Amino acid sequence: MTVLGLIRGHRWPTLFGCGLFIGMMSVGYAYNVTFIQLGLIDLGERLLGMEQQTIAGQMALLAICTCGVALMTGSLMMRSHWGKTLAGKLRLAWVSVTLQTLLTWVAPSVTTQSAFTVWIVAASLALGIGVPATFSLTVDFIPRRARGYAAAAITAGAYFLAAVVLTEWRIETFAAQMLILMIPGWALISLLAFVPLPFMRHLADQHWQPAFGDGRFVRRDTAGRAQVLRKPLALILIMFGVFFVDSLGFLRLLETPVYMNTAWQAPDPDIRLFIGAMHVLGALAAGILYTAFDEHQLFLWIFGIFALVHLMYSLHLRTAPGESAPLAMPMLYAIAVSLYTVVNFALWADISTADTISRNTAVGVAFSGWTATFLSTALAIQWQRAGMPLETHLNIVDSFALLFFLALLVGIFWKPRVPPSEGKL
Amino acid sequence: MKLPTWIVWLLFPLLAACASDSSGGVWLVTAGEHEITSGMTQQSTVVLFDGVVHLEEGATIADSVFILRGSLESAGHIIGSVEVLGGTLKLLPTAVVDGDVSSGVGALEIDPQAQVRGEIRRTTTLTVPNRVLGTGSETTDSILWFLVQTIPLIIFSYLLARTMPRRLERVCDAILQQPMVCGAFGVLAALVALVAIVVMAFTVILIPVALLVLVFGVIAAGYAWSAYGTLLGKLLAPYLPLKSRYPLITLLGTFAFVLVMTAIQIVPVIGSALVIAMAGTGIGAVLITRLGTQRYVARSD
Repeated sequence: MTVLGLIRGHRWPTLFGCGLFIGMMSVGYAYNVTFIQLGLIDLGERLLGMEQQTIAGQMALLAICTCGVALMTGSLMMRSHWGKTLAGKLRLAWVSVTLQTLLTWVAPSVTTQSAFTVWIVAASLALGIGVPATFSLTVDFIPRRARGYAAAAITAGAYFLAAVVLTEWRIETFAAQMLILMIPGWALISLLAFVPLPFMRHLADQHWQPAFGDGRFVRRDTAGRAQVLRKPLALILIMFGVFFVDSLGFLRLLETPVYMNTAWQAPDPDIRLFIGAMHVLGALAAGILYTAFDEHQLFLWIFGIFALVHLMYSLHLRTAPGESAPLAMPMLYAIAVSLYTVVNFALWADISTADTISRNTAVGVAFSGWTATFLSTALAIQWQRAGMPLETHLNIVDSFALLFFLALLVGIFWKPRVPPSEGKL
Repeated sequence: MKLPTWIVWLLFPLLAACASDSSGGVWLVTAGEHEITSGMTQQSTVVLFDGVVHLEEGATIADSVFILRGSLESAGHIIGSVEVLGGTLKLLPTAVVDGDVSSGVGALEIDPQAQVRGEIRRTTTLTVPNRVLGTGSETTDSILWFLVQTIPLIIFSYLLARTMPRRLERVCDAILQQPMVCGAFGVLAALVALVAIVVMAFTVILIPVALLVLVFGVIAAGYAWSAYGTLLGKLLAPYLPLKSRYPLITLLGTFAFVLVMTAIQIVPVIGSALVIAMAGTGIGAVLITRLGTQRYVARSD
């Protein structure tokens, strides 16, 4: 089911659903990687004068609360009727978007540490509700066959926005720029969630169709019971590794001006455009390859590229310390990040049914994304405080990437013939 | 997963294993101004790609210096030799060079009081022809250069079509049936391979592996161009008296394809982008069919 097929079949509601989902998730992810990951650090350091370790503590609080809220929301959605209907999901998404829009608006006005903590808790509530609610819309809007491409479009949009448009890493600028996107988005989602529109009835029924409801790695037995063809725990572990390796390396590079000022924060817009274009290229390649091959292929690419790029940074530190880095380094980094983001957007839906997607997504994102990011942030700050040199830090990250790479090779080679699980995590 | 893919994957750990050794043998200067102050010793070889290096009196470079661009201004002691392939070497009155000073197209400014204990060799300015075959006429040069590149390729395509027609057909099928998958795989593989070749070259010990990867890349590109040639040849075949001569069809098709690609490259921006996309797709087709040994079957739900 391609876009052209949808146009030829005059399936305008389905096309609208795809567009809405891609747009919503793109802005949401760009918000996460800029406003949350970079903006809050700026707010804490520059405006509130907090120490790096205190900010790390607040970010840990955000990660833990978000995990908890997401797991609760996901479980509740799976057990309740409203969590399985399009209207119910859209209303939950509305709660999340409303809260996030308000929080974004007030963020630059936060002046005390206690207000910052309250802001963090409220943000975790918004994010925790938002993740299972929005990810579970995949089964309503995106046909199974197109999920890799949709994930590619989301990733390309989010990272292009983050790399090319949202380039001034200050909370005030982030807030102003994000609100331009969030306010119209909030208006649209309010309309869709609360006004009964005729075409939404069509979208609400889509998850009953075989092409939408069950993920790519789900099969039905003769009794109609769903069976998952992948080990969810293994996927969570691999995705944990991906997020961990990325965050552990990038958090340290973020503190190294020579690498940031000549790449992600380069004054030359051509360089930022180049990095944005590489994100788009990586995302498109990942979308196509995810659809065409097993996900293991992409995981090998991701860990392989991360190992290579950290080796390049280590070599650069040895041979030309203090020099501006060749663009090949951020280029490969951007490609690796886009590859795994695409997998993250498509994978959880592909091991789920319409009934289990909210819980599976919450568990997947909470235990791989946030736990890994929290742990790697804590570790990176600890190493930096202990005076670990950048080269050693990057060598360790490289070793982690290699370890996962080799473990994956062994896993593929030693793939046991296991009976599919009963769709349980 | 079959053997060839495993070999490619295993290159990554081999490469990254080189990261464990933290002793650096080369100081690479690519930009900016740098100072080696009095009392300091730069132990490693200095390679100046660009930028400026000042060596103060009392400072030492314990190894050789290679200047490709930029400049080195020395008032200190260089224990090795200095090769000025481009850029400028300025030796101040207190400068001492234990080895030779050789200059190609680079500039030498040596104070009469500076000491060079080896030889000073100045070669006249090199004239690098813009074509390997310099006949004096730019048009003739261009034609000859085109033939130098194209003749080995069409011979390769002919031999490929003659000895392994089925393999070539599988690559053609992959290009026709799954161009997006081939393109995505090929572009990703080519980008990573290019970077990996450079990184391997920097580790020195992996230069032979880098050369092997490079040779494999050239073969894959030739294979891809031959596949395109076969496809184009088949289109042209009804107009040629060669209906049953598969290798000849491939040969003529490849020649025609190279002509078309050369013409397309003249179009600014779009031309190069199209050639890169075609190359990526072709190389991707060669890789996902394992050099044509397996038919690529698209995944179905």
